[in-house]
Amino acid sequence: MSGSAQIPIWFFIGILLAAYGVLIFISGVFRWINPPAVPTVMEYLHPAVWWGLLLSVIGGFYTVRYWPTGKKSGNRKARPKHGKRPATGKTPRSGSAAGSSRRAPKRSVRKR
Amino acid sequence: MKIIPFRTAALIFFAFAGSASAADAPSRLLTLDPVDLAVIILYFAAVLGIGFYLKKFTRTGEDFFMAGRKMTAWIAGLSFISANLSSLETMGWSAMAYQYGMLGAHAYLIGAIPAILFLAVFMMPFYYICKTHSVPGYLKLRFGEASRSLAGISFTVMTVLVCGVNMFAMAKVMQLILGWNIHFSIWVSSITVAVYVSLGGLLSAVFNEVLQFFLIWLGILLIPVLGIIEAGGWNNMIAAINAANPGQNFTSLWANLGSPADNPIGLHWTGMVFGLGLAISFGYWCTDFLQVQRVMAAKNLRAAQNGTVIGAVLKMAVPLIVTIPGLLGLAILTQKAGITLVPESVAQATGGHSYNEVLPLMMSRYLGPGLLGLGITAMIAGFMSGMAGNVSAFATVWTYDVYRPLIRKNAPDAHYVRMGRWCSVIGVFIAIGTAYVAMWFSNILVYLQVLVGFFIVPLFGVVLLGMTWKRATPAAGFWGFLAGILAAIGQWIFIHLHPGGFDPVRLNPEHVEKIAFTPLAMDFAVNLYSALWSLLFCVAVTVAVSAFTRPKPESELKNLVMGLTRLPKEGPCPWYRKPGVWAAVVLAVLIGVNILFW
Repeated sequence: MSGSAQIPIWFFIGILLAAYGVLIFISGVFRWINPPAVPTVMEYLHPAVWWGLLLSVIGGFYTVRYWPTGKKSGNRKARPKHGKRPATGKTPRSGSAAGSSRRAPKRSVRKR
Repeated sequence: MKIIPFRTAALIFFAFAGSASAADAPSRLLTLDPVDLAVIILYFAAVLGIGFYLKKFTRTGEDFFMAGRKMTAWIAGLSFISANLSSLETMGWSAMAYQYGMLGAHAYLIGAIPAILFLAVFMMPFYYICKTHSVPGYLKLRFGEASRSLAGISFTVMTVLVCGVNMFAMAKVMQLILGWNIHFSIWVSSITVAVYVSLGGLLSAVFNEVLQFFLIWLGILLIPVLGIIEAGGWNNMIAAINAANPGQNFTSLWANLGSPADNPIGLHWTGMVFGLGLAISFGYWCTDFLQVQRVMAAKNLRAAQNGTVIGAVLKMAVPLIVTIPGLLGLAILTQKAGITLVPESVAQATGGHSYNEVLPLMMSRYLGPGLLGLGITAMIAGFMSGMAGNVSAFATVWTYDVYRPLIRKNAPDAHYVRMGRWCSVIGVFIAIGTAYVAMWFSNILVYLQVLVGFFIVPLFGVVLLGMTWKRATPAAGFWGFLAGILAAIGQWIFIHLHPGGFDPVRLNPEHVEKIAFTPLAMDFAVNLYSALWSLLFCVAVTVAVSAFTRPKPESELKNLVMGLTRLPKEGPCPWYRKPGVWAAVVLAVLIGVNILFW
């Protein structure tokens, strides 16, 4: 594995959806202002405008929320890979703190 | 929508492909604006960019073939469903909904959900705890090398065949919808998949599948939304379908399955429940490595199980973008647009529109510039996610279950990673060659169903017995699996045998009746019964051979069989994160949906 932090997939999704949202929104506004000679069915609802806005909002949210911080993800308390949010500031209820004597998965088993 | 800008851009594309010109392009259903083209090009840039970016994170075999086993439940679940949500699914099942009504939705209900939940709750612990790289790898641990080799070879053959048909179908659709040259579509999409999978392995495939999941949904979801508004609401849509088809029931899940004569598939409810709901569904979702690999890459057992349950929820939602557009086609296209869809053969003879065109036709009806590009991107993304799923699973099984045990043992890890990268590329090229096998089949979904029946259903029988029955012996595992495969192939040959000889396209009604209890059964229906008999035969042979051969000692079956497997405790878990709780909720919703649309 590379030593650098991995950018979460959600960030890529956010960027692409935001770009699509802007493109579709602009295209929709253009058609609203200059109605086409042959409109699509339900054109009067201006779906491109609203769908473009929706994509922009979703994309913008993911882009900002998962903007790469550049932190190395080897530390469990830092932002883990694949978009999992940091676990900092939240104390595990029991058994999961590092060094806890209750965390002994090899011995603590249940039979299936 | 203007045609000239697209033609100009298309000329550049075709010139790059070097195999055709825009003038060669046949008539098209849709035309694209520059903004649509920009949306599509952005998509290709994104998936290739992700592949190049992830290459540096895939240095070891564990990274390349299992994505480092560090996926969260959500990523595993989204990837699990996206790998299955190919455009064969979206277009094929929309066409099924137009042709057969709501019966098509069974593929997303009884034909998927119970099996996915069974995988999550029962089978996943075995796969996960034994730390195998693949389903054939589990067979090696449980039954020995012979079973693993048979499973590995049969899976690689099946994967390449499925991958090829996926590719061919995409090219056909792009030709049909956009007039793109068929060779151009095949090469551009397949090279793109080969590049990003060979660079980033399963990690890249999974990342792109999550991206593709969003694009597929956001690209198609607007069609049912606008369609329902145009139809005047759900009840008006149902009323319009019933009015247009007097005496026929297109809007029930079960009411028309009492007799094969009551529905156009020629299927009795027993075939739906035991053929689709048990044999095909459990085989596909529980032992097809293409699916299972995604959730096996989760970071821990709980994430693997929860990811699978998330997959079940997402799967149950797919009829919203697949079945409803097909039903809207029934309600709107004929009555408001004056278009009646016909079978493919009739469409080719008369120049009309075929069932397979229902989704593109709905796209052209509702989606303007930009949105249309997103819709087309959704279809391309669907094809590519299905193809990438096959390619990454092929690379893993070939490298770990065929190449390493049979050709080169004990090579360094880096050698196997190189092999994985190369066979991702080579697998795509072999798949292109196999695409033409699909020409034998009248319906591509039927072709996929046949392949699953041949190789995956018997595999499920053996794996299930292996997990639940200590007495199942290594010899029985191999012979049971082989017997199941031969039974499935034998039945397929039998139903296509005519007095004049073998015909892979035409069914012999007399032989069909012996398998599906009615001569009315269509391919889809007879394949369900055939799969059920193969599964039962496989189980019977496995049990019989076990009675006469020596089982493995219990010390060698630890973590492989029920009763000898200890689940690791992964710390305290609130009730709302327990996979069993959510599996029960999903099962209750499934029952509710079936009652609601009975």
